[in-house]
Amino acid sequence: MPQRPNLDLALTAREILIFHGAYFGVPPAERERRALELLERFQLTDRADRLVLGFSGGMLQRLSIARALVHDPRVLFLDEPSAGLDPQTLLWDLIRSDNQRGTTILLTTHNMEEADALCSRVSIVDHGRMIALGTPAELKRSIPGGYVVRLHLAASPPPLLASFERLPGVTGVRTSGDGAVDLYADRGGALLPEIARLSTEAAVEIRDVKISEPSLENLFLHHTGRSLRD
Amino acid sequence: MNLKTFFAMLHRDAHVARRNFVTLLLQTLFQPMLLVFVFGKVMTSSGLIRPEYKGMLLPGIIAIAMLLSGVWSVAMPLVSEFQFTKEIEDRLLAPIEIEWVAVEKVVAGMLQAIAAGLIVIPTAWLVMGSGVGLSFTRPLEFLALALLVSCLAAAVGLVLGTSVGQTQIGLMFSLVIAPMIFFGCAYYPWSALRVFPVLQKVVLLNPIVYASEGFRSALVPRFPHLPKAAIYAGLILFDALFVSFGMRQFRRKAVG
Repeated sequence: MPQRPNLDLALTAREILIFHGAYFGVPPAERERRALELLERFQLTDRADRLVLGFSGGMLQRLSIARALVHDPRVLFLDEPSAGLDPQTLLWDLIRSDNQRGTTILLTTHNMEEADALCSRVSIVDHGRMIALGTPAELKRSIPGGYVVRLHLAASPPPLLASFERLPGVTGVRTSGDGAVDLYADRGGALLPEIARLSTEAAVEIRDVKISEPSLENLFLHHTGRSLRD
Repeated sequence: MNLKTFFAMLHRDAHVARRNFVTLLLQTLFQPMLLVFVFGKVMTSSGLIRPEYKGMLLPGIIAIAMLLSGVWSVAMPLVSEFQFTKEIEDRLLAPIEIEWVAVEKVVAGMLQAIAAGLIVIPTAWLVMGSGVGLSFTRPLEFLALALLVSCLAAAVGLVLGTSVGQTQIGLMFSLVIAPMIFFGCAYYPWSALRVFPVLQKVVLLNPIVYASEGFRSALVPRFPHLPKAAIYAGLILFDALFVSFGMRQFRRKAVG
């Protein structure tokens, strides 16, 4: 299933599934049956005999996945499936149920929450390079501390950073490219009074603080020094 | 090559064509029929043109109807399928080589062109009334010509559909296809151009000339027409040219 729907606009939803089955050599009776079953599962039955031209983004997305399933593939490639407009949970349930039926699914996403929720194995790729591979739990465990406190400081003198590093529970301190300072720690908000005290003593103004809980997003941050939104 | 997939795609195109049958018919046959009425009926009945002209005109009208519908039925969907809808990927995903997707488009276009030809013959005949004088004594020749001409039409459609954008396709029809029709010896035999020697040579570069003259040679052999060898050579050459160029363009667009 591609990121942008590329469905056959001259056909109805049901015809799209039936013809796609035919392209892949699914026998006539079988493809009729599968088309009806998929329309039902993907909640498109009431639209079955309409041209897809007027479908919403979410419906196109669901129909695209249904189309990919007509010939019962052993591996399903989903490229950014939640880029559509449906509530994520609906799509996630559909993807999970297919996975449970024995279809291997390779899912591409930039939504770490989605990867965490759906995937049994996650590979994080940055600029074409694989930077991490494992189950979501393994990956999250691999971040030192788990929590990340990102500080934007007016200045970052090395003695101040060293004093941060000596704080109880802090496992590492790194400066990232844009001048931010990342503290890896086993706590989040509880560190703030100490950070504030040390900064005041060093006469350094804190301009911004962001605390993130253990997540794949932090893993990405840890490996690349950039958050996904940068 | 996967026959099942190939025929499933043909089936899909036939299905869509059947659904759009009336629109397609009007788009491609309305203009030729107007011509038939004005030149074949009004002008001949009023005595402005001699009645024998009917027989001269009909083969040209068949050629044009086939070309228009073949070009149109391949080019128009392709243009939009290759544009932002990326609909073509729906077909490219199927388990069949890219080239065969293009071949399928050409075959579907040929079938539509032949259907258009089959509709135009009796209709035009009816409109023009008596005195057309077609001879169907050479069915095999007619069949061979119909195949070559429909292939030409579909291949030109493939080239246009893969080389021209949505915004220019209308312009292409009025700036390229229309002059090709007018200088395609559809409304007059090639021999009538002998009074314009330069033009008579130049129009030989126009594939429609071979289509019109070809149908003339098969349906109304009593009128002057190009020698058969030249007709078949011209059609086969242009078929090969447009098919190979169209396939190359299709591949480039599909992969790029």
